[in-house]
This record gives sequence, C-alpha cells and structure tokens, in this order.
Amino acid sequence: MPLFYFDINDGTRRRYDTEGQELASFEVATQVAAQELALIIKDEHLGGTRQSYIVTVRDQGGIPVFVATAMMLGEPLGLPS
Amino acid sequence: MADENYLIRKLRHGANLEAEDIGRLERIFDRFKSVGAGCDLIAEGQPPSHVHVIMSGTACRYKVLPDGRRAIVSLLLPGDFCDLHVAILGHMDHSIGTLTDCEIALIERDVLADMLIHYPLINRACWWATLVDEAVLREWLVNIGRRSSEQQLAHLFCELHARLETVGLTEGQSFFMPFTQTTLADLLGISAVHVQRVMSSLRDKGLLSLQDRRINLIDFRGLAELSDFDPVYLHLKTDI
Repeated sequence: MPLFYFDINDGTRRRYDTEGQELASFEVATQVAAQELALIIKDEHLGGTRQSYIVTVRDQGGIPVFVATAMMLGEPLGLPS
Repeated sequence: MADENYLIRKLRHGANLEAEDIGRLERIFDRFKSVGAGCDLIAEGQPPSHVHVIMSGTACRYKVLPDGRRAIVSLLLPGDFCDLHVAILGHMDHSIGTLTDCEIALIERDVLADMLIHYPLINRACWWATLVDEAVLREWLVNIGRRSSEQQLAHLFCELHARLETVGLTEGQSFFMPFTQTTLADLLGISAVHVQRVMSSLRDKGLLSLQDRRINLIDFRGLAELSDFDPVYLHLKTDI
C-alpha cells in the first residue's frame, strides 16, 4: 500500500509528518485529511478570532498531492444597546 | 506474591482469597498456548469450549464494521479473563484478537463452572472481575463520547498504568506500551494521523515520553487532571 504523509498547519504552527501512513489509495488519503480537520476542530476553543487549519498530503516521494483547508471564524457580536 | 500467576494477583483484589483458593487457582489451567500478534483467539459467533486467560501480551475485544474499520471495545491484559461470561452465554457476540504475541492459559468451561460452585471466594472474585469489566466499559463510553482526543489518550494511558500496576507490570511511572498508532486510533475512535498529533502535543507539554515502546508518564498527576482520571472505577484494593 502507498505511503502518505500528513503535514498539519493549525495557524499557530506547522508540523511535518515524518512517519507517514500506509493507505489503500489516494482517495482514502483525501478522506483521512478531511477527517483530521474535523477531529482538530472538534476540540478547538475558538477565542473570537479567525483560525485556519491546513492539512497537506504528500506522497511517498515527498511531493504534495492534496491540500485540505478548514476555517473557523468566531465573532463576538455584543449586546444591542 | 512475586511468584503468583497474574490471574491470582488480579483476583486478590476481588476477594480475600485463602490458601485453598490460591491452591485451586494454581491448578486451574488445562493447558497453555502461544499465539502470535494479530490472530483471533475466538471469532464472533463461535461457541468456545474453553475460557481464555492472558498470561503475557495484550489482546482486545473488537468488532469490524462493514467498511472494514475496526472498533476496539476493550483491552485484555495479563491476568484478565477473555471470556468468563461465555461459560454462561454460550456463544460470542464479538471477536477477541491478539494485539501482540500472547501466552494464553486455557480453562475448561466445565472445570471453571465447578470451581465457581465449590469455592465461594473465587466465585466472588470472578463476580468482581466481571463487574469491573463493566465499570471499565462505562468509563470508556464516557471517554469516547465526551472527552477531547487529548483527554482520551491521556485517560487511556492512566488506566493502562493502573491496571498493569495491579499485576506488577509497571516500573515506577513507566510501562511497556506496544501499540501502533493504528491500534491506539481503533481504541479511541479517531484516526492514526490524529493519534500522532495528540501524542506530540502530550509530549510537548512534558506529560509523557515514549522510547522503544516504553511509555513514561512523566507527570502522572498532570495527565490524570487533564483527563479527569480517577481510578475508583477499577475497584482496586490498596491493602494487598
């Protein structure tokens, strides 16, 4: 099975995957990337700001082959006076 | 106590076993077998003839979903019965598989049933073991359903430490943790990629370290606090 690397940028830092995952296909890798965004966002505490999350998938040779992005925007609206 | 097998070490937490109980438990195993990692001990639907006890290594209860994903619903560690209840239920509603190389002891169903009738303290200890299994499952449900991924992983490690300590398989705050990221992911219902991210985060916070498959819970209290781990659900005695 082909190896894919998942680099994650959560807006504050970028983490390069050095281990990789063996997955059945490119399609599965794209699903894993989307799922990773969902798992990160599930546990986030958005402090009234804009936050972007980017998962870049690289293939066995280290070439980027897919990128998935999610954005969260928290905006306190205040009480009407 | 140092020479006692893991089953006896564990069951001591469930009842004040006397010399005759210990003597019976020392002779209870019919035979032993070695099983490699990734093998089924019992598959779903089978009517088992023996009850299995883990002597070394780790096994798990699991179910496989139609799309091939695996959900691990409990971990079986040295001293744990794999299937005490099938002596009564008759067939398996889930599979039991090894996660590492295991040494398994087998007890004949009839012999076990007979022992439970004639040795009330062992009977009590086995009840205890079954009830604790249920308590662990309840805690796992909370863990998977309600905690953040970081808390889930921290809680799992705290529980593993507490359970392995019961049978004397920890060294201070560290223990052998042979699981792959995929196994940890199947245990927590998250992905292997996310396990890697969360592990890094726990490491960066100085809560734990991992080297050569040994995990060191550097800051056990910190991990327990983070994950709301309270070992009371394991119902362990402190005076053994």
